[in-house]
Amino acid sequence: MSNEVYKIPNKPWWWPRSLKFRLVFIWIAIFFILMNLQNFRVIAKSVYPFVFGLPFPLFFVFLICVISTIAIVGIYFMWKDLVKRLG
Amino acid sequence: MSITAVVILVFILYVFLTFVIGYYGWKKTKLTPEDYFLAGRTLGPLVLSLTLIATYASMWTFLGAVGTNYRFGTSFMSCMITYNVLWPLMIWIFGVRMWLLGSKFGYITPSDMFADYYQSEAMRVIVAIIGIIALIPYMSIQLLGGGLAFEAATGGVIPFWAGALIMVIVIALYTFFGGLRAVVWSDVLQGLFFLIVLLVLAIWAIKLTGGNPFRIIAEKHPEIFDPGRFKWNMWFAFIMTWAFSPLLPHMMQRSFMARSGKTIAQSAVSVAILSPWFQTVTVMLIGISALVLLPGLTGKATDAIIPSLLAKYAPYVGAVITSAAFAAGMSTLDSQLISASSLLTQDIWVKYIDKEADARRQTIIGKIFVLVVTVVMFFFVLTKPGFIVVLGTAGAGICIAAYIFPTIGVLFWPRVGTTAALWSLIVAGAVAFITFAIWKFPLGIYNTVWGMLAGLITFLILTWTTKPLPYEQQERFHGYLTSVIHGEKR
Repeated sequence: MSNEVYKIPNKPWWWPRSLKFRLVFIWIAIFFILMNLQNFRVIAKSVYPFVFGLPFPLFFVFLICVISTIAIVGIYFMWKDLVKRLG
Repeated sequence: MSITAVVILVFILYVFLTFVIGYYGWKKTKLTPEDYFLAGRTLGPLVLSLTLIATYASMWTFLGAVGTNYRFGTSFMSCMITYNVLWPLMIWIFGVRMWLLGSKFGYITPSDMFADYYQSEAMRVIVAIIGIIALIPYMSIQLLGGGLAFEAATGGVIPFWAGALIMVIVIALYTFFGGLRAVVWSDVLQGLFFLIVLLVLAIWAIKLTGGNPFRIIAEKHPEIFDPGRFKWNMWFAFIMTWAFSPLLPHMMQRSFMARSGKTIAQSAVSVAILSPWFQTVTVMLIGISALVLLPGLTGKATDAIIPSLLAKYAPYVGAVITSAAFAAGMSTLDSQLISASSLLTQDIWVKYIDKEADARRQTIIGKIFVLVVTVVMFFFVLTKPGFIVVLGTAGAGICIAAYIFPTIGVLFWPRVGTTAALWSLIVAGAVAFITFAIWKFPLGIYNTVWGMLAGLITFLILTWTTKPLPYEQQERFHGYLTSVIHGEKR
């Protein structure tokens, strides 16, 4: 048995070849870091200021929620060609 | 009319509707495993999105998550948003690839995929056993929640055990006859009902507080907005478990059921919009409002916030809402039941005990296993095993910790050989099980994290020190995935 390994595109796996993948990769990293910052009390140290009637920690979470929704719709449209191939 | 009578009446109506759907499912289902377990791989984007949401959102969301928001405030919400944003992305990343392989090679269970790729029958059996062991506590939370909801809505007239028993009988009957077709159709009804009820409840609860509950809570209990309240170890475990929930057996099988890969991509987007807003924000609003309306709740009482809220402020509406709690639980439980039954039937019974079974007999055996699993689960839940969120996360965590590394090998990394996949599966599954059932959460860290850590170390060491699969086998899978995903010729 040989040790030959099938070569797939997009190497190295942790840094995608295409710009689209890079954007998603960066988005996931930023998203994860932001939510961690929230959790580790870096961003939201107090309930003040209230934004749109919401305490700041909560407003921050809502904001991330809005951005995430936009991001996933963006991802879908960026991969229209793949979606077409899958259909 | 007494409240108990109203609860029972609404529930009977709801069950009747579910049975009508089950009946049509039964009429349409052919006696073949592919039809009984995967609805003939025909689901379109609307049905797939709703069945994904309905299956993912369970008693965990409806009762457990509300209680956890009540106890931990916004720090849990940041966690909930994180995994509810990430799991649809995982449907996209893992689900599309699994559908490609499932439809090309005709897989029915996750074990089919692992056994075929790694060319290992041991893999098949262990994947099935881990799936069943992990599904039992996860399934039990649905019954636990059903029993609690019934007890709270009827003021204890219908005790916990009777509520759980009623739920078990209803699910077993329509799952037994209708198979997956009945399950996904009822998921559409249950999913819509459940999402609408959550939205209405959130608006109602805020109105009931008489103003802005956040301002009231910020003045009275500012600690609830403390971002560090939900500790990092729980935060990490919850995200790892629920973001990767598309790797649970019943969720993986949903990837095999889609009509096309495009359907999965479209469903991932719909779910990404529905899940953070309808399942997270609504639940959080109810949890925060409950701090004003029902102050001072502690322990397991927080798992019954919605029924208690309704019993106090709108007892008759509570009857309808109790049905929504059942909808949440039933839509998850029925899928898990079918999945557990398919693991037992396809991966163990038909492969090793009754090799001659034709398609019809396989389906009948599958139905019998639906009943067997239901009975086991019912007796497990009578012991009232613990907090809904803890049970759900820990149970699902066993499966995800065990499945994630072999899945990476099948879908992304051709270098992974059978030894690395098999041993990471065994080590991660065993460590996640032991750190839940025997030595519970050492150092306060959830079993998912322990299992993943042990699995990762085993996986990396063995991947680099043992042989990969034969080149032709790697090429058969990764070549096909590459040709479709990257649009390149093989």
